Amino acid sequence: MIAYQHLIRMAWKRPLKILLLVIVGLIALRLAFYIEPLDKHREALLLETFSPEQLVTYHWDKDLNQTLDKALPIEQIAALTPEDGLVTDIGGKVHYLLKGTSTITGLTDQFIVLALPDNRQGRLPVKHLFGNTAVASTGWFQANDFANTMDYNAASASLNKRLLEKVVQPLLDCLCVGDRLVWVGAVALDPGQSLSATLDIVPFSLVKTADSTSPQ
Amino acid sequence: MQHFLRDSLLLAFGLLVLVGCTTSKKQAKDKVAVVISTLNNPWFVVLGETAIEKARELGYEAVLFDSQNNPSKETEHFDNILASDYKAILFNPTDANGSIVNVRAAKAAGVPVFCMDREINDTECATVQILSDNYSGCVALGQAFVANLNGKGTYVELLGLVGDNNTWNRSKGFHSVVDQYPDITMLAQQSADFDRNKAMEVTESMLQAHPTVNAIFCGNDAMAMGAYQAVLAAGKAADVQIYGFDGADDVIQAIKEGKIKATGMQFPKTMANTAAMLADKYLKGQRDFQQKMPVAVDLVTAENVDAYGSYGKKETH
Repeated sequence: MIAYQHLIRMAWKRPLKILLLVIVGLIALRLAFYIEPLDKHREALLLETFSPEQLVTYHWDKDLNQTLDKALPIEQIAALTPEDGLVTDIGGKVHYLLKGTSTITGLTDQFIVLALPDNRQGRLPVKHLFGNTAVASTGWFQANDFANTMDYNAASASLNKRLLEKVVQPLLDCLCVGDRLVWVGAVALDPGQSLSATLDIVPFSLVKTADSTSPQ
Repeated sequence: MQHFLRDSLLLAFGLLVLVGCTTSKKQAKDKVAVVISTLNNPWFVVLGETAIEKARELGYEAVLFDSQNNPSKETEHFDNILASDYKAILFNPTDANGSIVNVRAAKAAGVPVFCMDREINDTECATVQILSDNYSGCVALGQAFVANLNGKGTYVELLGLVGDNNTWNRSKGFHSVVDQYPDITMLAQQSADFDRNKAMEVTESMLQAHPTVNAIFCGNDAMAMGAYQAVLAAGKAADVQIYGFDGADDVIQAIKEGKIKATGMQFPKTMANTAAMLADKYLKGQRDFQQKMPVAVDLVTAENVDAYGSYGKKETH
């Protein structure tokens, strides 16, 4: 009887030992490495080996379409609340991404002027694009992500450059007053002030409609 | 009867001592240190004094330390603070890199540090960094500068402390705009360490080398006032536009009088109050803080100067 019990105990001991070894092995393996999504890893690497252009390219390729999809119709502008946009600074402006279809009412060496609802006009820069409105409206990266804010500002300047080069300038030669544009752009509004009659829009996407008068 | 009276008096005295001890123990306040880069500039005096006032209002004993723009002095202060049971440090660093070691020492000692106005080049050791959005502020200044010069002219630039990130964020924000205009030429660029007297001396020599300069861009208001004194002494006050950054009282007044063209209004009171409130939250148990909190900067010109008062916007009721 005692020999039988001993045999049973031995028979249990071996699988138990193996199970324990497997658990210890798994724990050791888990501690030896960690799993990180590939895109997060790439982003962290880009921030570590900082190149403003590469960082912007990364977000441009990965996030642009998703960002454009979030844009709100320009017709809603008077009803927007700070919760509809992004705020980066304490006491600062709220950054919104808006979209619409508008007629070009003016073309200067500095701006494309659009007719907006409620007798407002929108100004799209064609020569110079300054400041952090573009980056702040996307939320792609924040000052927090960088060791110093100079790098954040450099990435912001790089995004501005790309918007001028990729969005505005290729379209400039084929635009005329009277053309209609389907646009998506960033706007910075001061929550403490009433809406101005002229809005400065940072363009993220510009497409001339098929019914426009000038050649496509 | 006499014994009873004596015993009662002794008992009452004993109770009073006991209550007194308990009360004094209860009233011992936690200490908060406010370390400021220099008190030789009114802007930083406002930053430091506001932090002190807010910390006291929140129930802390607050003590002000002046680093005199000297990183070694700053390290001495930190050594004393960490040896003296301070619970938190509201900190305006002297150097973006040089001050890291002090903040790191505080973190190792379990004392949270809340940076105000000036940044350190590390995102791990400070609890929070509350910083002016210098770059955007100077983008706005640069746009006003270009408009006032009608896109054409010459200028000189006075930089702040070269080891301070604010110096470069301001300069880069300004240049991100002005450098796009080929007819605007920078004739000279020199540091005057954010100091009024140095700015006066530097401007005097710059005016001798470049007598036809149209404008001076200064990295802070103290330097703008120094530059104005030099320009005035040279009899060129009507010909040279001066731009500053800070929103100091004397510059706001000078903008009203047409002596200085524009400045970027930082909000030292907002930064100091925010730092003190966050320190209070930390000491009450909160731990989830955003590392960097930028504070917006407003462009102040002759057109909107009446809306601004002492280091901020006037209250409108």
